[in-house]
Amino acid sequence: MTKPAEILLQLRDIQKSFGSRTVLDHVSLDIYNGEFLTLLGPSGCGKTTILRLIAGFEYPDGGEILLNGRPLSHAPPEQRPINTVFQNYALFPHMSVFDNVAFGLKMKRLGKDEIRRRVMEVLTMVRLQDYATRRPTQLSGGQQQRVALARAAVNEPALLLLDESLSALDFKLRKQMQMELKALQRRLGITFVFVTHDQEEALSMSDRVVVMREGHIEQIGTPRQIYEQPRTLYVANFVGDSNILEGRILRRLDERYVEAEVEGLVCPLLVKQPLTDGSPIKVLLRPEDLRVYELHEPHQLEFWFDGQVIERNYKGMTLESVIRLPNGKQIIASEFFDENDPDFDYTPGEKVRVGWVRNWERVMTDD
Amino acid sequence: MTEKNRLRSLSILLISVWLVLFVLIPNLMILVLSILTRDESQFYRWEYTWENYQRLFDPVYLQVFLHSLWMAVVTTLLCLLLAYPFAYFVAQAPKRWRNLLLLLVIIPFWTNSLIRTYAIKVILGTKGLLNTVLLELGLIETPLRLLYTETAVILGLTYLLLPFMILPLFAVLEKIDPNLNEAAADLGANAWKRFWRITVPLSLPGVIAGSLMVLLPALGMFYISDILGGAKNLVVGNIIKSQFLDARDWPFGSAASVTLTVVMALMLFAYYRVSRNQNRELIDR
Amino acid sequence: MTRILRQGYLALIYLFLYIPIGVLILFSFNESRYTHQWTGWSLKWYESLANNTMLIDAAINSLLVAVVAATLATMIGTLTAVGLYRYRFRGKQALTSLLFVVMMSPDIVMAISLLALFLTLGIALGFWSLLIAHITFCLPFVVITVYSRLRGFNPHLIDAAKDLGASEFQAFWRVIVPLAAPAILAGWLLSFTLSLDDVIVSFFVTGPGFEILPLKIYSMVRLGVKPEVNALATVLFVISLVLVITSQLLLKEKR
Repeated sequence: MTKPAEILLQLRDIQKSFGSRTVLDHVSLDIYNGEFLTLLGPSGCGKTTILRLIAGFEYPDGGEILLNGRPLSHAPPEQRPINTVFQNYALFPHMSVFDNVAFGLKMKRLGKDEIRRRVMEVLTMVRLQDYATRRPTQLSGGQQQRVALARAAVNEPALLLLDESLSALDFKLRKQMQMELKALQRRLGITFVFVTHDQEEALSMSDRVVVMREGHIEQIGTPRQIYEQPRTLYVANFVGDSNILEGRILRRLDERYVEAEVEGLVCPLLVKQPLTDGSPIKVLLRPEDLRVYELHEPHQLEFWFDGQVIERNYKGMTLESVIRLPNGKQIIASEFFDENDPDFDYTPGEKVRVGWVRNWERVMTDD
Repeated sequence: MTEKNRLRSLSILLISVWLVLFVLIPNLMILVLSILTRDESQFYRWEYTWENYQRLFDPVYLQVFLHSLWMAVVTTLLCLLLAYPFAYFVAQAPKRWRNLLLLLVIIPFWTNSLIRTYAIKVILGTKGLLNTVLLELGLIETPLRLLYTETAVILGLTYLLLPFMILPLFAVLEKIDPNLNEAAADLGANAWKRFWRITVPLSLPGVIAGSLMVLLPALGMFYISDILGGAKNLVVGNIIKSQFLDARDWPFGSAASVTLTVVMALMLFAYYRVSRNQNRELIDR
Repeated sequence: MTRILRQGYLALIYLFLYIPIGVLILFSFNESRYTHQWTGWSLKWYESLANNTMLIDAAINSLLVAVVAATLATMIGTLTAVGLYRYRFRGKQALTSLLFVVMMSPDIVMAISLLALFLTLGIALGFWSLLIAHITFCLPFVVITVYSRLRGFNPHLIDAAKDLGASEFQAFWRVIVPLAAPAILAGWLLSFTLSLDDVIVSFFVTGPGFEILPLKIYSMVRLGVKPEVNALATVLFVISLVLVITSQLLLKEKR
């Protein structure tokens, strides 16, 4: 995001319920022009409802939606300069690829020549120019996905919504489409709002990620902020693997550090928030923040647990070890293979030292 | 918004007006008629009475009712017996054949059922086709009396109503996931057990729907008994028809009609309960 | 072995269904006017049919009512199915119940109730009363056929059309109708069939001014049906068969 942040769409204090079930509970969100924003959360968290409210398929019970500062809340979908790529693409099975993509332009009653030109332009962009006369059912999943994208993008919407659009694709195709999508978004300069429950997808594609939980927003931030500085345990757990260690503050050492007891280990922790002595804390450690050493190895740890490896999982690039701490708690450590250490591996049952790189811990209170 | 409302109002209004005007009001009229008094010149008089319903228990009418019901039940069972294997085989036929096979069931309908009933009469008559053939072959010595018997009415009803059993049965049988049968086979059920434990229970809604679609019309098809049955094999429809067109006793005819409707409603209610229970069972398991 | 048994069984049932029609066709070529004797092949009944304008008119009237009733029932029924599928409204339950009542009530009950209505309202029994009655009993079948097809759609298709700027009517014409086309066609065909086949309802709600085939024949049955009727039945059957075969061929070509 190099451009100055100019607000394109605003959700103000949106409420929505279906029957007695509250789906969105006073949600506010600004969407900036040109950004790739991802709504991330488990199913039922309200992310799709936000999308449907923006598209106009649902109307909010309370609150307002503003597009470029003008209220939008009650315009029907056909009058909004917003287009959607549906979860299962929703391509019209009775129309050719060309007619599918041309549908929106025909609705605008554009001239035949212009429709033809613009449709072919977009089809070329998604590399489907040779498939214009095919029916959607004759295309592969990835091709259908690109038709759906072309059908939405050809209208040059102010905002393009993508509802779990990659979830139907297999792993490899999904990776490829993620890159294509990102590239396309840069080329078109259109704002994308992407909904997914796949945290990896969210982190790799987005300028900003909105993590949702049960009808409200848990955290908004760049992928890096979300991953490295999760504001709540929920976010930490949902985004990436994490070890949550239980502890309590013993005393404050200075402005930045406290002395604390964590799973039986007394150690200094980076704690900026004002917390009273004795208050319970949770310490978030990503598996890659942990360091594991065999007992005979030299190490730079200032404090550590004496642990025991109970399981090890080969992950290709990394080795993942499950380690039991003296008090019985199990944690996961993930380490890159060391080219220079051919014996880099543990045997289950082996005693090890395990600690973390100082200052990489993130201390949170209970939510 | 307003445009959405226009299509919405059009679709809802049109059907609502139609159904109220041509279904609800006429049926209410019959309901009211059934408790009025007969009048020679005006069809009915505004004088309330239960007499019309009491008259239905007159042995003459009661006997027709019960006999009609008996013939309808036999017809239904016969149709079920004939249609089940048929629908089952069609449902298992290759997909590209199925539509054609079903179309072949429907085509006879394009020859009006009255004409086909007449054709049955031609076949069954004393000097009819069947007797002629049997006599020629020497299988019988004197012509069989087939026409104007209970058998003829049941045969006619079965012939005309068979497709109404076939179609709902086919609809449920076609939808049964073949994986279920494979799963049952995998779990050790033989063909016979698979049929009774999987296919039959799952097709039950179709059996009931088909039975209703045969049983109810079979009570009303007066022209079958007119043409094939003679005076002794009347159906409920004959009573209603003669009250409306010959005897001109509309209130009594209405009472008979309301009774028929109530019987229908009771059966539908039973059907509803069974199919709902079945769904619940399917969900609970 | 089982395959032969299956096919044999299917063949037997079809035989049962088609024997009466076969008999009609056979006797339409019989030289004798009596059905119990076969005196030789002849086309004379076709000749006398050609001169029997009353019979031909009745047949044409039957077809006319069937086509018009099926078409109108299909239009109203399709609109209803879309309304039930798209919108939530008060009284929806009552409406579907009424449709169910229509579908399940015995013909005779519907016949007399409509007769009572027409006489009360002073509507003359004839083409219009017949048409209304036929549309009414066809409606639920169209609604069910089209509705179940709509239920099978990806519900996002209509959302997609609206999202791309289609108005409610445009979504209806360009997406719903083309997609439901097979079901709409099936609904029409079913209505057409039901209308052509009907005896009971027609018996009550048409008058002497507008005679249709089944009623014409009904009045003839007691007095003795002339073999011209066999000839007519044969002609109609052949026409319908030709229509079915051409439509099947056309469909195949389209694929």
